[in-house]
Amino acid sequence: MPSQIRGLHNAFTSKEKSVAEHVGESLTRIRERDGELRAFLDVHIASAEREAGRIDAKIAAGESIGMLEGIGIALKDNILVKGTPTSAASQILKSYTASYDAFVVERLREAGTVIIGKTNLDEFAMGGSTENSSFGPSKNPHDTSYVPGGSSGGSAVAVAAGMTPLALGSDTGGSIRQPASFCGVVGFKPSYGRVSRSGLIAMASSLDQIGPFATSVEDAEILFRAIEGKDPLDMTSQEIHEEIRDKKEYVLGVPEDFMKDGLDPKIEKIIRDSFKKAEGAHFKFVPVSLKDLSYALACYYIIMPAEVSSNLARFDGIRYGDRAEAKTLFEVYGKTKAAGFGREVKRRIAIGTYVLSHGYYDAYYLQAQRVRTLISKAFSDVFRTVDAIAMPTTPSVAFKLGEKLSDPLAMYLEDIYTVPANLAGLPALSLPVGTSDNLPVGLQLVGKRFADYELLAIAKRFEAAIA
Amino acid sequence: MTPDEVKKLFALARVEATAEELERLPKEISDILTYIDKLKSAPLGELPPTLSFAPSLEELRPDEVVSQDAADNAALKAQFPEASGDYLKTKKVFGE
Repeated sequence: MPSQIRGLHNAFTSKEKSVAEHVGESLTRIRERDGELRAFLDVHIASAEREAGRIDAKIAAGESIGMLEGIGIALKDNILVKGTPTSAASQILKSYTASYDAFVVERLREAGTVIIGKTNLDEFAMGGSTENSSFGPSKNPHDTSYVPGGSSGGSAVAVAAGMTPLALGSDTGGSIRQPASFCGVVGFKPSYGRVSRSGLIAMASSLDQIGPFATSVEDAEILFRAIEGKDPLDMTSQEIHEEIRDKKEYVLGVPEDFMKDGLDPKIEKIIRDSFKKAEGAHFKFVPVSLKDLSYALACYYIIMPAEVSSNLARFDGIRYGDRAEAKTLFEVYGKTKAAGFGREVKRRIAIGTYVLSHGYYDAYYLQAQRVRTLISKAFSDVFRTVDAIAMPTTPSVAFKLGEKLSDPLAMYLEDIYTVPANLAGLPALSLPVGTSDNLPVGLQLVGKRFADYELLAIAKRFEAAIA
Repeated sequence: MTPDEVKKLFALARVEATAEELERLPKEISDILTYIDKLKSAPLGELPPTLSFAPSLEELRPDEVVSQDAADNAALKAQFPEASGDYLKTKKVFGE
């Protein structure tokens, strides 16, 4: 796909289109389609129009503007925007107003993007369909009887339905890549440590990462460039000086053993067809063994709930959010959380509490952290011989609304190909490579830690090869 | 997993459990625990745990007072569910 951002930037600077017109088109599109698709929880009409006017005045005065200036963006509603409601789609935060801007929002403001609104998600980013949103699910724009994926489903829908050219989501176990795959857009989870999470409502802190949605790899890269870097308020964030060399040939590893289980044959065919097309554009595909990745999902479903149970302890009705009426302090906690948290959130808090409890800590939590080392090691071994790993983003295409709601384990298995990159802190991207029964299929590319721009370069070449 | 065990987990997490949850969750949690039990067969040898990806602790930011603007303070206080004058109210921590 050609870059939408470059197209809009050129239109703004040549005065073919004003920023106000661009923002107006976004708002119109949202008015027309969002009643059905429900991508947005909140649309910032007044501030978006005000920003557009400010940038148009700048252009009219002959000042130069940056590449992202005036471009509309949607933000997942677990990213704080000062003075606006941020609920993470939870009842417990339904009356919460953010008191500061997230680091990424500060960066977006410096770059001059126009924040169009906040998008729907599974409550506290827990889920793979947006059906766990306490405000109702988003719908897949390709067929509204299907889920858009999740948890960043609203952000994927906003970009796929042409409501905004860009969006940000967060990815703890696939929450950017899986909805990108289901909705047919590009979704990029950067390396752990590359983007600050200050101002992101935490889910599982050793896994959470913020990243872009776009309609092309180039646009995802432009947005990533604007938000990456060190922030003193997130001690895991780092300044990385990545040397980028465009190689003549890239070698991509295909984890044949890991991909075997549960993969829809129609998806496998589309993925392998994309490999054939890419071979003509200086890609070489080699089989690699990553069988230890079969432990990744079990490992994830220990570490993630453990961190969830700890991170969500803060929502107790004392300092912010809704507080239930009760006589004693413990009753306030108990009733506030009982009324404020949804089904999936409580399930994960219970599992997390279990795996961290006395007597089980070594058997579950510590064991999982050792498996995490095993998975990182399996990746580093393979990266000695390949530049990136290529595999499907999901084992099947989007499923029907309601289909997996009563079976949490079936829903968890959707994450099987995406969680390994989070456990090892690696950058990973989902690229649309075709459709199966009219529903999009995504190819996942996983890169070396902190080789984010190299991964984006690989993805750009792959995207061009299959176009 | 029994309903009583689920009740205890909820109590530890300070969440009141409903009768519906006590009936539904034992099986759901058991299924998930059975699935994650597959980790026991992982070939770990002497591998250490990965406890953090954070860079070295020598890179901590200076421990200093950062002045807070009055408007930010007011915004934070405004989030408090209950207040009385300059006091922010909670229930008693110690029983009666």
